[in-house]
Amino acid sequence: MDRFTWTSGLLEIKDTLVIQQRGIKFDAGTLLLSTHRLIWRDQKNHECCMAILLSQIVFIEEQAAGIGKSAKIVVHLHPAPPNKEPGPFQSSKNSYIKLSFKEHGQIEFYRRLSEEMTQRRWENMPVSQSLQTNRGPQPGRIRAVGIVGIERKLEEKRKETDKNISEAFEDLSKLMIKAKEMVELSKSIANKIKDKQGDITEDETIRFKSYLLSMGIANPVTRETYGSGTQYHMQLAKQLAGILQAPLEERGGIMSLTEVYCLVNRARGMELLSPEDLVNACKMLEALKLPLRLRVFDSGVMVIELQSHKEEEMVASALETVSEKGSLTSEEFAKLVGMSVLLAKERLLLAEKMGHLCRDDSVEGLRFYPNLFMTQS
Amino acid sequence: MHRRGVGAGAIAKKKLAEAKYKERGTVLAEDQLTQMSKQLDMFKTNLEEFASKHKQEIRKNPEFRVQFQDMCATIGVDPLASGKGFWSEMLGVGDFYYELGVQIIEVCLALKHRNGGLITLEELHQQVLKGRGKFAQDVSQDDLIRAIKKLKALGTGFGIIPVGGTYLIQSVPAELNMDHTVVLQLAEKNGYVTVSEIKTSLKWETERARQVLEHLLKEGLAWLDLQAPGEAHYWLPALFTDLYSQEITAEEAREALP
Repeated sequence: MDRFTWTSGLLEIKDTLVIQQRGIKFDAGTLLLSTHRLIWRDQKNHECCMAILLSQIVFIEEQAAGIGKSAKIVVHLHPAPPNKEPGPFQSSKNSYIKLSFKEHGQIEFYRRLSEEMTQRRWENMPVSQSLQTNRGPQPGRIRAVGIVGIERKLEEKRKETDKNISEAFEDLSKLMIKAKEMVELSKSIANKIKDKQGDITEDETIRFKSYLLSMGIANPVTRETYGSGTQYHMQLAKQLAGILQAPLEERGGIMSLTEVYCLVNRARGMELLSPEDLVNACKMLEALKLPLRLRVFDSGVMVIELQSHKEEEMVASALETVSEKGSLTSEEFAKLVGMSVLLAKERLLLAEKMGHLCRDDSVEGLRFYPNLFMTQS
Repeated sequence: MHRRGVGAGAIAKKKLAEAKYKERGTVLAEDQLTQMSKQLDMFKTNLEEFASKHKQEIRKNPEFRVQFQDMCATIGVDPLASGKGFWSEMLGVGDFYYELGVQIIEVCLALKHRNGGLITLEELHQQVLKGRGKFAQDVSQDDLIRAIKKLKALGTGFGIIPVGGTYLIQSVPAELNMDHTVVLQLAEKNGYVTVSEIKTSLKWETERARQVLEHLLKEGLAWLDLQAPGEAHYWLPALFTDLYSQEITAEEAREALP
């Protein structure tokens, strides 16, 4: 069949995919209909792809299926133009092709093909890559291999990417409009809730909060980002209690929230927690009577401790350590005890707050001494 | 004339009317919630459709990510607020940024002993890219900044300080006020700063300059060089990008985390 030409198989700019049907015979492939062409792509070898311009089609007819025969569409064609680009056959005595639909879809495909034939959209939208059409003296481009061929492929790819991006932006803008509606709606609901303090059930509050969570909208009433108290965070808190028990015990009963964040997310691999998810879940630990709790030091550093962990008791042993060595900086203490510098510092600061240690703040760093003012006066 | 609004009957009537209003009020909220729930489902479908067409775009294209984030911010939506949000689940943006957060923490921890917890955005970018390996997808500086902003919620003092044309990323809760920041910005040019330089450029008095520099020394952010020609130089290791870019490996970065 000499009306076919080899093609790279990309849809041209302004080509729109109208319908797609699999199982067409010429050794099993996929048939695609666009506004400009009929494209056939081999199912196994995706490189093997050919197309025929819709403008070449004179007339189509259906052939119903019979016993042992699948339904067909017969496509009658114009004679091949002289400078047509190369295809699977150089010449053919037939002026029609038969499309055999092994996996059905013939009815729909026929309908769409007829539609395209009637509308003749390819006449309104000139295609960038000029294949020979029946109107006017448009020069057909000789398809070259080598550098020109590669360049053309890149150009097509670039156009495709550009098209994708502009399409993506368009779709994104539309999506954002809808998202904005959700934001407005949530504000109006929040206002209603505020006005009717007490008249809205707890159930409804929980529902509302979970809606906000899904959309990523800050809770308009409390201004926290959707705040704690959603079911999700409660479940998460319970999960965390399970996961963190062993690591906490290994690390002396206390871990900074940053360490927890890394540990948990590395373990998960996917469906990671956001920092806010973690914080909000941890805030619920105590309320849910789980064996861990969140603690915030004066400096703002946040840690998770085992309930059984008593930082104040640890301070006593810290004092011993410092006394033994005379004085220690956070780094030295951290190394001795085997904890992170951050938490070591917090412990020493707490000891200082409780009056057990004194600080010596100089350019050489922050050094802690046992508080002799207390013990020796 | 018929007197209205008095008597037991009137009171009972009033109570009934109030109760009806209350009920109505609750019904109104319920209605709106149901409406929101329906709209949410619709939105989820739209988002799924968007994701099926453009999820790759977000993954591969940093400029598109920026556009996406900006648009969300404009309408008041935070796609990174929760891993359970639609955006995160369907577009995969969450995992991208949260994992980046982990990588940033690791790099900062690994280099802290050298730079005191202060690092330029460029160096951080370089180190993170190295840690991610050849086959991981590209991250931009904008991506890093967004990930860091989220990390602030963890309370461990992540900060972003503008200097020169770029940013310094602070990863330890050192107290840095305006004075310190300004001196850091001054030091960005040469990697070090002197008392005289501060006095000339910022028109400060000696004592103020000294205090700031001492604080930076204490926090481990600056090193004192008494052997420099002329007066003492205060160097900022955070600004030594060239020296460190080759040194740390991905394993080192991971091991640094206790």
